[in-house]
Amino acid sequence: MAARRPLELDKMSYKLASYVSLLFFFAIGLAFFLAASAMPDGDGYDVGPAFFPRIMSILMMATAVIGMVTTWRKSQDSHVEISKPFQLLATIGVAVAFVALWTLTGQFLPLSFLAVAVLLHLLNPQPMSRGKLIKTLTISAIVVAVFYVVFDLLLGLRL
Amino acid sequence: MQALFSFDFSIIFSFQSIFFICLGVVLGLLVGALPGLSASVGVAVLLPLTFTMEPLHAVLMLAALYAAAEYSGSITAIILGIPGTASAVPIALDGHPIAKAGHPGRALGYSLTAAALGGIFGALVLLLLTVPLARIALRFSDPEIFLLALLGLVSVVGLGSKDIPKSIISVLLGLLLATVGMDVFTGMPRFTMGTFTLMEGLSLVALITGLFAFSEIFNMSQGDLGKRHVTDAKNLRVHITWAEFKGVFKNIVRGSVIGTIIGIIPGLGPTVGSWIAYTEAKRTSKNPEKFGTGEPNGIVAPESASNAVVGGALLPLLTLGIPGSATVAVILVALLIHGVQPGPRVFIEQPDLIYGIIWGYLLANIAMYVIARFTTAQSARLLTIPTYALLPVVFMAALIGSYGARSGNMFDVAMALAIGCVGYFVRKLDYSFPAFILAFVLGSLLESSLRRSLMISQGSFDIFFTRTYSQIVIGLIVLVIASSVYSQWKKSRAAKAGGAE
Repeated sequence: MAARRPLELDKMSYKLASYVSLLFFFAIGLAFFLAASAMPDGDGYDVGPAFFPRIMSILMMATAVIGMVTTWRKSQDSHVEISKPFQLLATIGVAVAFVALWTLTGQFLPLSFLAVAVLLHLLNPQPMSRGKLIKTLTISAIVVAVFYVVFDLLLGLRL
Repeated sequence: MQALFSFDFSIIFSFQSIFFICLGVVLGLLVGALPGLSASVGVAVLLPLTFTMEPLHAVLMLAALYAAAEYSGSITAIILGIPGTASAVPIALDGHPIAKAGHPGRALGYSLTAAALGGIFGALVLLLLTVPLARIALRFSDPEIFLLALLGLVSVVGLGSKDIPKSIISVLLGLLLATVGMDVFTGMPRFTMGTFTLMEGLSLVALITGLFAFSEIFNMSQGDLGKRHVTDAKNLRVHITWAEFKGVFKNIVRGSVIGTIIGIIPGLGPTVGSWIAYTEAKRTSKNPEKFGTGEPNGIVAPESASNAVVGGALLPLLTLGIPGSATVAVILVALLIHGVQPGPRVFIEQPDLIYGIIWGYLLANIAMYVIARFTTAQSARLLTIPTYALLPVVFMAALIGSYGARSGNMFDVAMALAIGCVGYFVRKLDYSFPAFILAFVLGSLLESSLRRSLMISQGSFDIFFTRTYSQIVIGLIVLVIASSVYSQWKKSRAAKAGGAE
């Protein structure tokens, strides 16, 4: 049986990833430059609100281009690895879903209990068992309760 | 200077001050000892605890936490040979062989003594230099403030980066994001996309939480999630004899001096400090061949340096409002949240607060020694907690931190999460988080001082070159750039020589 090929996404060329990131930052610089161009320049000796962000955005675009050239000139390449893509995506997914649901419903306590329990369950490498489930629910309840008592009840931060 | 000694000491010897110092120390010992968590993550994650505190208590707790976490990061390095933080790598080289030989308590004793003395040395320098420096800083005007902020950014790019263009981009991104919000000169909204939420600008707490906490959560999810480090509690009594202390005293002093100087220079931090101190201890040793095999001087030099860095890094924060490191930037946030803007004026407006921080920080280092001496064995047991169980705790703290900083702002939570995701990926590509955070913190200061200077000089840049203090700072900027260019040239020459062989 042939060995399974790893996911291409979990191992990316450092140089390629650098180009992508530099392009991303070039685009951010360009967006700031365009937005700053719509602002007043100031009159006479008065320095306007566009002055500083415009200079910074030009410098950012120029540095991104320089970064691309220096990356291209590097003779050696390496890999940027994501060793456990499932765990990473699951963690990001739980966090994003939690924030979205919290924004929509405003229910911090039940949602945080759920998020902590799901994270614990997904990230605990032990096989599924009743013991693991009880442990997960107990730790989740304790974590959420401690945070609720400290931040909501003691420090008055309304959650 | 007289005010420093005529300070009302009942402020820091109050029950609350001592309680928050001890709490900071205990939390720092826990955070530093936990696998995968560093001082910067700890300070960022525990920032929400300070939202409702008095500013003095908030800063004392975070500074005590920072100092204690720097020490307890060495516990894993010594007991397991796995450095918890980058600054603990040289400590592992000599600390772990001593522990393996059956004397972990002795190795930890060297480490704790050096950490406490390094911290106290940094605090004494803070005590002696803040007032004279603040007095000089009061003479600074906008051109000097602009150049000093620029010096901080040049230092963080030039001296502490792996990839210079990427570090410059980190700085520029921080400066650009700092311009989001209402322009303080004209009242005009900038880059707000028509929303009221962005009128106040982006939340520094959300940025810090995203970069240090959320990105760390994603990073931790890639490690060995179920691993428990089994530790042996035998011989964990933290202790060294007087004779052993005398044998390493010189290197404690040397490490403390190096650490304090490194701390004052923005962007370098404890890792650089501990490595320079280690190299220097080895270079000046009569037995350099013993380094790496369990030489006590190889523990004390980097340990005293990494703790002295904290006091050094607080110096530019208190006197100029410029944080010396990303972790100190979080301490700055704790002050800003309470409406306190550090800098020379604060010595006149709120002397009790500033002198309280300085004296309290000295007390925190003494408290760290006493508490750590009796609790290190317990801290070492934290190594048995698997990573998967820590992750939800950091997750909850990060959520609450980004939510609570601006009274329940969901936009900040979403932004922290988005920044955490981007931060996780860009961290792998050698972009600099400290450079980004320092630039964001210094952005408004840099822009406003630049614009005011140009208004005063009617648009002429001569104002930056004609004043004595400005010329001194320009000299320092040139020095930093020259040393950075020289070190890059040396590196590329060494790489070419290596390639030719």
